Amino acid sequence: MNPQRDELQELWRKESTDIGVGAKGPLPKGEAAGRAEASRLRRSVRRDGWLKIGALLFLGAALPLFAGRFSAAAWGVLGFSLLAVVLGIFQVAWSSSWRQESASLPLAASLAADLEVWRRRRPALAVLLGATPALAWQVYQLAYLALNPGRSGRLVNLLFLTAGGPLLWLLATWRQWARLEAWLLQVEGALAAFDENAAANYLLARRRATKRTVLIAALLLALLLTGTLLYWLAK
Amino acid sequence: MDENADKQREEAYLGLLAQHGRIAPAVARLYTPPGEDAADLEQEIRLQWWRSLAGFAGRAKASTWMYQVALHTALTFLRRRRRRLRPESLEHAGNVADPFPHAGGREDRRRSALHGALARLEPGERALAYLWLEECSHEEIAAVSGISANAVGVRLHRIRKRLKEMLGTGEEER
Repeated sequence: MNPQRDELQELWRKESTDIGVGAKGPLPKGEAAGRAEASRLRRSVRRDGWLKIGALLFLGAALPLFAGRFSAAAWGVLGFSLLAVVLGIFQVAWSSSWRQESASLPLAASLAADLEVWRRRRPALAVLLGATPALAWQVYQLAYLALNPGRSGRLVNLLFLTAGGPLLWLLATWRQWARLEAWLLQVEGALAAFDENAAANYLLARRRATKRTVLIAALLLALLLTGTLLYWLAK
Repeated sequence: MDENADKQREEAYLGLLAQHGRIAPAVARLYTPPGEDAADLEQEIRLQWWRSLAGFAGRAKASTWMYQVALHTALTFLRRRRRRLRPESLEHAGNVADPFPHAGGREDRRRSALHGALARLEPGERALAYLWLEECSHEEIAAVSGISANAVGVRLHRIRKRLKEMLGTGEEER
């Protein structure tokens, strides 16, 4: 027994002996799908990209229906669908170019590198992932109006078209931003143990995140109350 | 040629795993409650060792590199239902990361309490505590963490004090 060994180290040493080498399994060389957050993010960006590219199938099915009546709404369907396809191609190509090389660096450097890389990617990621439900909504609305031109003058349809898409886009973007924020806060919290500046930044970032969440929750509540009030006034 | 390189890589990986493979389950136990999450993290650590093996190329001590990759993987492995741990009494420590939930012996209870105390440290501090418990030198902990050996000493002093307070050993720092 090492006389310098602390009693906690001694306790841990006995446990390490119990752990042994751990479960043996096949070599992980065939495994492409990691379970870490970075791998999951990459997969969701790629999946979302393919979903957007899938708008081509929708276009292929919908275009014959618009034959002979190419109104502004039909052009809108075409425009938004093509925008989705272009964004989807960009997403798939972009996520394929991501390389993860920081794991072999010392922890302080690797965590700082992760933070920098993902903070840089975060705005584009949130906007791109948030755009999917909004684009689907716009395409659906425009297709409905293209097939039912008589209903395009109704206020509710105009509201859905002009406000529905942007609102969905904002909400979905915020949801993606919050997901990334939660992860980056975790990384920043881990980095705080190694870096005094990171510790101070971490505290500020946590305060900012809490404030932002409260603000957005208050805005959503106000929106809900306004909607309910308008509904009752219109009755 | 490629087959040869593949074979060499496999041999190197298996060799490292035979020597230091226990780091994966130990780190997984340290950062996740026992169960599916721990198994996922353990598997992820092995996958990251495999993927970054080419970047290792013997530039550092094998154990240093394996600790770096394992701890980096654990620290960035977000679980959606992550629970915030509160400093409750250590009687409940066994519910957090207790690998011996049914053990009754005094030593098992102490080990269980040690896991509970580790789970109450911040994730980065837990990494430093783990390396110290593994009897790594301050220099090796500095190489894994990327901070100076002096800073390692200061942080470890604080961490050990907290651990001993939580465990109620009442031992004064030497």
